[in-house]
Amino acid sequence: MSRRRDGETVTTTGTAKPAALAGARVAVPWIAGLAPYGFVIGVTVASSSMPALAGWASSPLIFAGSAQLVVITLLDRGVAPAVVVATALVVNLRLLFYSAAMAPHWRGGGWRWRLLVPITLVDPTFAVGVDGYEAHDGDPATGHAYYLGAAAVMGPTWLLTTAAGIVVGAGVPASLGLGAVVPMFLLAEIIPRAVDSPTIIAVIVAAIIGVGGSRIPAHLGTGVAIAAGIAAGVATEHMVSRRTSTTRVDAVQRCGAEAA
Amino acid sequence: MTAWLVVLAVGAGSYVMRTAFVVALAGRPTPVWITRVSRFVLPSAFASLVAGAVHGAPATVAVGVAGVVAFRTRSTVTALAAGLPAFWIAQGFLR
Repeated sequence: MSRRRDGETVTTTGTAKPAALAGARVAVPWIAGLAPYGFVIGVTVASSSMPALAGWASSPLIFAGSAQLVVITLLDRGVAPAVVVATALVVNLRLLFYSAAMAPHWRGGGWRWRLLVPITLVDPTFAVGVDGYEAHDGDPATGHAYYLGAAAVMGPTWLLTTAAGIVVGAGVPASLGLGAVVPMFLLAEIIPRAVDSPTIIAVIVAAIIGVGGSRIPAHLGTGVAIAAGIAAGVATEHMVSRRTSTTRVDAVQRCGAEAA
Repeated sequence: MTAWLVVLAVGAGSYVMRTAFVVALAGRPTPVWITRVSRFVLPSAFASLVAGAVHGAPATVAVGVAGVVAFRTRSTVTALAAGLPAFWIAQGFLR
């Protein structure tokens, strides 16, 4: 799960400041991905019935774009609050992985590392942070500084771009097409992930039920569509893996164990 | 008010998941079912949201163009940069 790229390893100096600067520097290219995403979420808030401040507050409080998008979109469609919360939390289940992967590094770091720093844990901070801890194996203080440096760039980027999206989105006429940015963004995020048959089946099933979902009572359509998509994906994967020969499955599992 | 409560609830739930293995479940392996399910969650969630978010012919054209560009380039930013002008052009023709 963790990735390590050559050329990103930082010289261990023993002091925190260079490591924090290195983490911040590695975080900068991520702004290209974070800024448009944050902006889209701000525009979504502006074009929805959600109060602007509550919409923006989702950035510091939830701090995970996909779950924020689910909350804003589903509330605007009149979905029951409990269903919105459940759907968003399912989307955020991956945070459990990141928590498990960071646990060895953060558990011994005192209450700040156990209770405060995890607030910043999300896809990009995890990706960069894990690299830092791997590069500074056995030197947790430097790994910590590296993580904080990255988070100090990514966090404010997220808060500022969502705010900018809300401000700009509110003042822009519909003819400029910012309303179409959200579905374009969602589709562009799906396509690179739909690389194998289980994922493609999951996407198709979720989309079909999502279209007809307005007929499902109590606004449960989106929740049902997501659950059906996941179920279809898991079922397809199960069928595919049963068809492949046992030796190959063993080999794949061995590779997985080595990579973990 | 409802919006605030939902945001707070999702925030609290996300916080619990972020700290789960650091604080409480320390040392335990991640449950297998989460590994199985997780890679389908985001594609399924976003796929279910796309259809209901497209309103009108210009938006449909824009989303189509963005989809093709995303397939070719694998870049969300490029897809948006191609889709928005497509929206403006389509709006001029389909008005």
